Order: sequence, then C-alpha cells, then structure tokens
Amino acid sequence: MFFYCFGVCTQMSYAFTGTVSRFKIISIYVTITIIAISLIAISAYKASAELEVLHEIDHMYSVYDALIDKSTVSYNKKKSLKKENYIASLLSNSKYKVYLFISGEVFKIDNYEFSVSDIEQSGLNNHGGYIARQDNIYTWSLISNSNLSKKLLVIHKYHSNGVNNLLLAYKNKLVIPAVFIIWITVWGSLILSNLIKQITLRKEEAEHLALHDPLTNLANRNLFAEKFDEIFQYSVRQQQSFCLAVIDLDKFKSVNDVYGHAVGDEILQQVAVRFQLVLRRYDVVARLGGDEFVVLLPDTDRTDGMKIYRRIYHELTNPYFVSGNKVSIGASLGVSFFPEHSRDMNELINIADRKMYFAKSRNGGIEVNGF
Amino acid sequence: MRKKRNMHQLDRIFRSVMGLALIYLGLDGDALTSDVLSRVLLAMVGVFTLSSAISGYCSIYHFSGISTYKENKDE
Repeated sequence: MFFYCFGVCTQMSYAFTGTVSRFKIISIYVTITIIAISLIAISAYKASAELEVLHEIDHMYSVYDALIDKSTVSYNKKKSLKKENYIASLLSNSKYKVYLFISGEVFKIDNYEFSVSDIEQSGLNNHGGYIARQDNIYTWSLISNSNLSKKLLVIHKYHSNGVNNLLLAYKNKLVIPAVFIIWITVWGSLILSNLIKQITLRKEEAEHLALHDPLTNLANRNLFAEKFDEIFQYSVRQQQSFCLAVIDLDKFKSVNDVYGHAVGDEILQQVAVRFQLVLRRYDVVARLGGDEFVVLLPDTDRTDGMKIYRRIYHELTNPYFVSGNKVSIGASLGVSFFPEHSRDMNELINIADRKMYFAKSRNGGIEVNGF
Repeated sequence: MRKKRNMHQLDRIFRSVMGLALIYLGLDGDALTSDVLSRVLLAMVGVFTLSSAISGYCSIYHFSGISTYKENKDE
C-alpha cells in the first residue's frame, strides 16, 4: 500500500513537472499576498486597538453624563469652588478619577503631569480622547451639563485587553479568509502562468510558420533572404568564402501526375530529411517553392563545397520508397561561389539559377559557373 | 461539450474527504469558527472540492494546464 501510494504520488508529481517554472510565479504572487495580508492585519490591529479606546471613552462619557444629571440640583445650589470640588471627589472612585476642569490647571496622575492643553490636543471625538505616557495610556472624557458653566474631567488609566484578545478575534474572523485569499492566489497564479505559456507557444508557432515551409519544415524564402543577407555581410567583413546552390528536382511533375500529390508531398518531406543528413548544423537549406530548393554553405571553399553538393546530388537521386512504390527522380544543381563568381548577392543567385537550368537541359547533374 | 476527466483516483478520494470535512466545518458553527463569512467560504470551497471529486473534472486544473488523470496507468 505504501509503495502504491508512493508510486502514485511520484506519478502525480510528474504530472506537475511542467509547472516547475511556474513555482517562481506562484512564489512571487504568494509572497506579495502574504505581505499584503500582514499589512492589512497590522492596520486592522491598530484600528481595533483605537476602537477599543474609543469604546472606553464613550463608556466613561455615558456613565458620568448620567451621574452629573442626577447631582445637578444639589450642585447648582452649591456655587463655591470648594463644593464643586466636593462633587468631583464624590464622583471619583477607584477606577475613574474626576477633576474640576479649570483652564491653565495641571493635573498630576501617577507622577505624570497633564496640562489642560495636553488634554485639549489629544481629543479623539466630542466625548474625549487619550494620552500616552511611556507604556501607559490614560483615557479622558470631558463632561458638562447644560446648566453648568464648568466641566468635569474624568480620567482613567486604561488597560487594554491586549493582543491575546485581538488574536482571538483574528482567529475567529481573519484566518480563514486569509487562507482563502492565499488559496485563490496560488491557483490564480497557476492559471496566469499557464495563459502566459500558451500565448508564448502560439507566438512562437506563428513566428515559425511565417519563416518556415509547413510541408517540409525547411526555411522558406523569407528566412532564406534573412540568413543569406547575414552570411553575405559576415563573409564580406571576415573575407570568407561561401557556396550557393539552386536545386531543382527532375521528373517531379510526372511523379505527381502518376502517383498523386500525396506521394509528391511525401517525397518532398523525404528530400528535406536527406538534406539534413548531409548538411552541417550551420548550413542553410530553404524551399523556394514547388520542387526548388537552395543550399547555402557558409565559410566553405570551392573544394569542400563541391564535395557536399555531390553528396547532396547522390542522396537526392537515390530511389524513394513511398506507400509501397519505388520512385526515382533526378536533380539539377547550379552552383556559384563567393567571392569567386560575384560580390553581389542577387548576381550570385542569378548565376546559380542559370546554371541549374543549364544542368536541367542536360538531364540533371551539377553545373558550376566557368566550367 | 463533454468535460474530460483530469483527476487521478487518489486525488478524487482525497478531495472527497477534504470536501466533506470543509462542508462540515462550514455548517457547524462551533467546529472551527463562528464567523459567518469564514463559514460561508469553508462551505463554498468544500462544495467545489466535493463536486470536482465526484465529476473527476477540476476546472482550475483545466485552466492551469494540469492533469493528474493521464498519469494513472491503471485506468
């Protein structure tokens, strides 16, 4: 059972092998998502902490607003400062300290001094605010009754329920959505990388199709023109020689007429394979159209070039076996050499072309300019 | 258009278990979380996982170009 599971897991991992390069994309996306979630979590934590303080201030305000209303009657009767302070001390308890709020006064709590301007500047809303002193937070609320000309300041040394309490809330509300977002991100990045791969493949296919002959997969006229130009310029700069041959298959039309176009097409495909057998990696072979080909041998002198062209001729004129038929065709090769015959690209092609027709008129073979 | 299977048998079994577990966690308020949004998400993913296991076809696999089905030589 273990080996079965191991085998299946290995097979499944092979199924994902094509996605190895995708892991870069996935890791980038997941990293960005985790950073984003962390930033949101930190902001949410700060917002939650401030919300907790605001809740505390509102609570203080509502409690003391109600208390002041109850003591209004007696308070109004006692106008002296002494009595006002007496009321404030009455409202104070172990949790909340209550002071009469007088402009310019400094309040001292737990060895910290709070000026009236400190309090005025630290307001969060109409009910109050908070002041941070080292690790301690003091929430305050300023309460006045409509009948009072003076205000009461309630101050509380605030103790947050802390990170643990917030973590509990996070666990309950944030963890699963966060995991869900990461899950979506992983799959989203996989889909995206697959789309990029598909688009790249299509683009490469389209480029290949624009520059290659679909039947033989050899270079087409456009790619040959590009390569020929490159090789010509390079040979001029480096003072190197190269060889060019225009090749036409003989009796190919009669093959099409006798055996049909399907056989003709298969022969052309076999011709392409035979070219590859003889040519070197850097040689260029292209199908110009129909049964006409061109072979360019860069950095090759006359002697080596002729050896290769003879081998090509030999390969092309060997019989072809197609759909149970043995088919024999001929080949005519017209050859020109750079720089021996011309230093002009078009002229080199024209010479090779003329020589090919000359070879054709002599029932095939290889013809070289000047012979 | 008929959707082609793209999941291995073991994949389907794993997804069935996962899907049922996620649906249970989504429906039972005391199991993992009491948060409604989290439970809806769990149930949604559970339903998706279970339905893909039953049909043997995963649309995310499809769009990601992944298939575990073709590697199964037993089938």
